[in-house]
Formats: sequence, structure tokens, C-alpha cells
Amino acid sequence: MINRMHIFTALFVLSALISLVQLTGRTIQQQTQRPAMPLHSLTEQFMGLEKAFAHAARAGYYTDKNMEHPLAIAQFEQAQYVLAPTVLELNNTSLPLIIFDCTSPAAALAKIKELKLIPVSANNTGIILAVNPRVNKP
Amino acid sequence: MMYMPGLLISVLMGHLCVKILGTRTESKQRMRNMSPEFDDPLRLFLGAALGLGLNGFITFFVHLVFGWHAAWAPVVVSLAVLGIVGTRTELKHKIRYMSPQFLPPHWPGLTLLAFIAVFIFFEANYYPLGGWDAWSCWNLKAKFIYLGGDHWNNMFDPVLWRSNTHYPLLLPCINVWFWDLSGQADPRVPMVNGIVFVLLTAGVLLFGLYNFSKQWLLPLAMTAAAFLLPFNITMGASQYSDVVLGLYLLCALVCLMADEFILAGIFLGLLSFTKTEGTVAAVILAGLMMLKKGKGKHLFLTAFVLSALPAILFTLFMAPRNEAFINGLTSMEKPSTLARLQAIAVYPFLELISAKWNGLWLLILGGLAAHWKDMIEGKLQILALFFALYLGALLAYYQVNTFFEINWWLQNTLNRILFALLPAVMFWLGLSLLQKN
Repeated sequence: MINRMHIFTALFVLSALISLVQLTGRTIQQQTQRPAMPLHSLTEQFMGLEKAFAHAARAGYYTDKNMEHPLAIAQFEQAQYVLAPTVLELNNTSLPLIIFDCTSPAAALAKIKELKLIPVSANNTGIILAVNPRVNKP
Repeated sequence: MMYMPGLLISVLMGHLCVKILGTRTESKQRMRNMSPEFDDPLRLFLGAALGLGLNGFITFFVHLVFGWHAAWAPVVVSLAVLGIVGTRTELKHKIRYMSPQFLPPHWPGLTLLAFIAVFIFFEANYYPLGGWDAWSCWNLKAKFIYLGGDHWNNMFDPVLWRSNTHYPLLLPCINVWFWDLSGQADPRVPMVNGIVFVLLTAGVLLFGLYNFSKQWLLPLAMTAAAFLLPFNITMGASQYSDVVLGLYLLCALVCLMADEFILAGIFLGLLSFTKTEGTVAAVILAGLMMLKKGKGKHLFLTAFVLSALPAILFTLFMAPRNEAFINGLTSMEKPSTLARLQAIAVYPFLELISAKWNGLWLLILGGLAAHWKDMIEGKLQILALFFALYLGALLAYYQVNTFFEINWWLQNTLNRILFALLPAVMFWLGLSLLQKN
């Protein structure tokens, strides 16, 4: 005799089968067409900077990007993740080490010049590291 | 990679602890004709969850409470604990802890778990850094603990307010324990731990329901429906603490239903150190347990208080204030409004019918509506009260804390709360259906 448990079992099986079809399709799509996922690959831009920050408890992170935009926030937070345990202070340029992540390298260099900082390195993604000669090294 | 030896140590340690703490009440249970003792697979899954959590506790005490930052220290302490419980288990109880019985009776469950493992593995590989909060909160804290030395508490700096600095630290501490063992902050550790936590949750739900009913069909169907859901697979691979919260809540409920009060108390203690919501859930459940009539309350309370020590120490002496909190009841700038209350009252229904759940919550609500008398009777009464109070507390918090714009906040967090609650709710519904049958 069919009871309530049998009905719910059938409904859960149906739900699982629908999910299985969706999941299989999605997994195949993910494996065959791996698109660039900006939110999940931003850390690469900051790889290699860890050594420069090895003894810095705090550092500045300057950006002229719109920090209301999720991608800009994600980029800042992934920089923080890569460089932890150094604490990054957003738009604080009075610290000894400052990362410049601007809309263009030219904009970053102009700001560095304006603040009278010294650029020390840059990578191919436009991230520039500058030092502040007016404060002691960390 | 040193991951597998670390997992083995965790599983063995937890398994032996479950044996010791569970078997002490087994004879009493038999005498009183109470709930059945645990099957081997359930014991192993509960043990693995317990072992991982205990290693997180050890990391917390060694690194953060006693300030001993040597990487080998937590691992040595874990091995010492393993040695102690191993000796006690073997000498006192003479059990066959190395030969749990899995096959053939448990092959349907293990097959389903293998199936889930394939999908979660692909998903985790697709998002190797996990979701947003993985890199901005949980794994960031793990890096501060592992690499920060004496300055680990810089992670509480107010400038890191986006990282939810006041959240408890169980998940980061578990990941750090594995990093201590491997000698490097390997980003694959949080990813693999995420997979393991999802499989443990699925295993505890599946074998938990089987343990109480000795039936396969409904437990298999419910576990498949919950853990093959594409949204849940994404969340499972997110490396968020919501996965751990869901696991320890489910473990605590399974142990409560089996009258394993010591284990239930320990799992609630672990739950309290997962997230702020976990602390709230643990306190509510512990409070309900203390109000309940019956024996075992003192054992439960002792186990809970001892295992909640990390959460208590963290909350009282370490955690900074929540930078993302404005009391809307007193604030003139951001008051708690009627419009906010309306959004809170309406949005949960929109979330429950959202396409991402594939109608699963509607099915659960249907089960609740069709079956509500059985779901609030007997032992299940405490679960009904817990879910009602917990959801009430969360919704009240949404109303009181006006820091975030309510629609954005609900859209971004309510689905995680439901994700973490889903295994426990499925267990509640499944148990009532199976018991009635």
C-alpha cells in the first residue's frame, strides 16, 4: 500500500534526477569551456609581491577605480589575501610600501609622481609597487 | 602532499573519541531500551567530523591561546591525543576499531557518496580559491594565523572590517592544522577540506537516517536531492564556514536523537565556534536541552561547556566588535523601519521558491504541512522548537542590524543560511517520515 513516505520518496527521487541532469550539463560545460573568470583569478596579479612585503605589518593600496564596483573590491580583497599577514590600507599613501592598482599604468605613475614616491617594480598586469622615501622602512 | 596522513590522523582520533564517548552510554541505552547505537559508517563519519574539529580546537589553543607558534606543535599535540585515546580505547573496551563493517550492507550509501564526490571535485577544481568569502574572510584568517606569528591578531584590525573580523575561527584553525603538518600555506588544503566537509555532511545525513530506520530508499533519495542540487554543489565548493556549520549542526542533532548526550554536547561546542550564527544555534539548542525533561542533561551540559571553551574565550577576550553593526532600534541615522520588516517578512518566501533550489524547499514545506503533527511529537519536538527559534532569531537580527541595505543583505546571506540548515531540516523531515512508517 502506498503511504506518505512512498510519495515523498518518489518526489525526492524526481528532484534528485532533475538536479542530476542540470549538474551534469553544467559540469560538462565547465570542463569543456573554461572561460576566464575575473573574480576568481585576480590573485595572479599580486603573486610575487609577497617577498617585498615579508617584513611589512602594514602597506598602502592605492586605486583610482570605483570601489563601489564588485570587481574593484574583489581585486583589493584578493591582494589582501595574497599578501596576508600584511594588512593593506585602502588609499593610505603615507605608509612605507604602497601598491598602485590604477585604471592605467600612466595614471598610476602620475599619482606616484604627484605623491613624490619612488616606483620600484611593476608587473605585466599594471600593478606598480612604490616606496615612500619620507617614512622609515617597515 | 601531507594531506592524506593529516586526514587519517583526524579520522582515527575522532573515530576513537566517538567510540569512547559513545560506548560509555551504550550499556545504559541497552538497559533502558533507548535509541540504537551507531552503525560503523555513521560512527566513522561522525568521528571524522569530530576529529577535524578537535584538531581545529588544538590549533586554536596552541597557536592563539598559548601563543606557541611552532608549526609542529599542534600536530604533536594531536598525535599525543590520538595515542591517549587509542590506548584507552583498546585497553578498556577491546574494540575492533580498525575493522569497521562497511560492505556489503552499506554499499548503496557509499555509492551515492562516491557519485556526489565526483561532482563536488569538479566544482572545487573549477573554483580553486572558493567563493568570495573564502579569500576575503576564512582563508585570509587562516593565513594570518599561520604566517602572522606573534602578530596574527592583526587580522582583527578595523581596516579589515570586510573580513567579518568578529567571526569565530574553527574553519581557519582546521585549515591551519593541515598547513602546520605540510609546512606550507598550500591553497589546496581549504579546497580539499571543503570537499571532505560536504561528503561528511552527506554521509552523516544518509547514514544517520539509515541508522534509525534500517531503510535505504528515503535516506538515499533525500541525500541525493540535497547534495546533487547544483546550488548546493557550488556552495559546498565555496570553502565557506556555512558548510562546517551545517555539518556540526547535523552531527549534534543526530547525536541528540540517539541520546548520545556527550557527543551532542561536543558537537554543539564545535558548532558554536563555526560562525556567529553557529553560536546562536548552539546556545538555542543547549537551552532547549536544559529545559527538556529527562536524564543526561548534566553530561550534555558538561560536554557542551567544555567544548564551547574556544568560542567563549574567543568571544570574551579576542573578538573585536562587529564593525558591520548598527542598532536600528536606537540609531537615528539608520533606524529599523516598517519597510525593512516588510522586506524581511516577504523575502524568505521568494528565496524558498527561487529556481536555484529546484523546488526542494517547497517539497520540504509540503512535507511539513502534510506531516506536521508527527514532526512536533516526542523527541522531534526539540527540533521543531529549535528551527522556529533559530529562524526567529536570525530574522530579528536582520531587523535590528541596519548596517546593510536589507534587500542586498537578504539576497547575499539568506541562501547561505538555508544551505547550512538544509541537511538538518532534511534529517528532521526524514526521521519523522521513517518513524511514522
